[in-house]
Amino acid sequence: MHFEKQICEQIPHLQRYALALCRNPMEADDLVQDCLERALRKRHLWRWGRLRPWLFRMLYNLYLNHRQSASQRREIVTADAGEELTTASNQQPHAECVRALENIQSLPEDQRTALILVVLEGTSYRESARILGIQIGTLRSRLARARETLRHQELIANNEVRPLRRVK
Amino acid sequence: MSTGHSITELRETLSDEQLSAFADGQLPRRQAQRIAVLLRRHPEYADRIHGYWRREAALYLALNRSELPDVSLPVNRPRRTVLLSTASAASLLVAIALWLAWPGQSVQKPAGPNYIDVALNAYLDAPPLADNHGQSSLASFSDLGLTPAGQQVLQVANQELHEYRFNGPEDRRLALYEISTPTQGQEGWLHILASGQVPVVEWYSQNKRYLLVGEASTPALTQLAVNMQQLLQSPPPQSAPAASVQQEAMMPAGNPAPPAGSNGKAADGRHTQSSHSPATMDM
Repeated sequence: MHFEKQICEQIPHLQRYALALCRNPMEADDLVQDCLERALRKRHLWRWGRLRPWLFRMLYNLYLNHRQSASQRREIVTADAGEELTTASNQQPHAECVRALENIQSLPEDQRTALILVVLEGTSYRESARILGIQIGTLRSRLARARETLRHQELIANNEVRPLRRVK
Repeated sequence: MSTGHSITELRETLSDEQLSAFADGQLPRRQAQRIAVLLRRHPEYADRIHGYWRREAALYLALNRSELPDVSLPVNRPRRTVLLSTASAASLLVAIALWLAWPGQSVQKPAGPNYIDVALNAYLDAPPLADNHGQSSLASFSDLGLTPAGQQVLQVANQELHEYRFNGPEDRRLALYEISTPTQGQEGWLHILASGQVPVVEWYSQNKRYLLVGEASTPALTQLAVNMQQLLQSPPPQSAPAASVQQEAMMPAGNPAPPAGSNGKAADGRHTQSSHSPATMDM
């Protein structure tokens, strides 16, 4: 299959992951564009393996770069008014979805990116670890911690447990 | 507590990592079997896994909803100049896909008729064309697996909109619309409009605006647009001077033809045999 065609097939997946990472359509769009531009410029570096991990790795690295440069410029990355993710009119807002989105935002960055990748794209641990540039063991650990944090948040929300208090 | 008992307890305990990996189906078979046995014995673990799946199903749904957000994105929104210049300098085959809402919602569309709506209406209400061969202004897209199905000129606000119809694989209908216009878009960039009834891919090249509409998946249509863009920018030379007039008739003008006798072009003005074969459309 042609390189360009394979790239085209990955665009929706890249967009979805970028949007999940950035939570801002404009920023996500920029990220995907940068990723595609870079992929096309660096296609000679692609070694005829699977294209998806290569592209996702590129997207993730660009995301980290964007974040780093944004923090260096002390930019606050927020969605503009009217540019927030919107729910289409024919889609009923779902409390659990909203809560899931809120909860995942509270996770540490490394756990969030790992969980989103595995949940959203269904990538294997090996592939996810390669994309994120970490060991499989680290990935497993991040996923487990992320899931437990989410579980705990839900328990707190349901008043089944009290939030832990920090004691000296 | 006896040592034996504590070892049993230890064996009956599952770590968060094990549960998480089990939920993802990422454990080796033997380990997964052992955990499955433990889950039957300890329903609280099974509940935790069920909780993971439930929360992640909600998360998946929430994130997937925003795959194609219903927000307007400007067509030519400001981008970093360095990237644009790099892209154009490198003559990228595909520039970048912008997933847009329909252009009626776009905020930076140039004034004038909405050619995308016009093209879509023309495509969706396509009456049969009397002339299925058209004028001899075009070369061939047959390398892309397209069969010509007619062409016509539509008048829109004193502008000519050339419509070229094709049949793709499995008799899927496609139409390419060409409008002469001073370049209003970024040369070589593809704009993909995927949220309507049928996808549309738009690009600008050589003071012409192209709109490709068709019954195809968005990636397939984008791929086809890339190949068309290539062909229009550098029409393939053809070896046989007797290349069919019909083939020539079904390709937009694109770049001016190279001088006679050069670049594989025969002296009678017809293209010589194609030296490269772009991928055919796989819808």
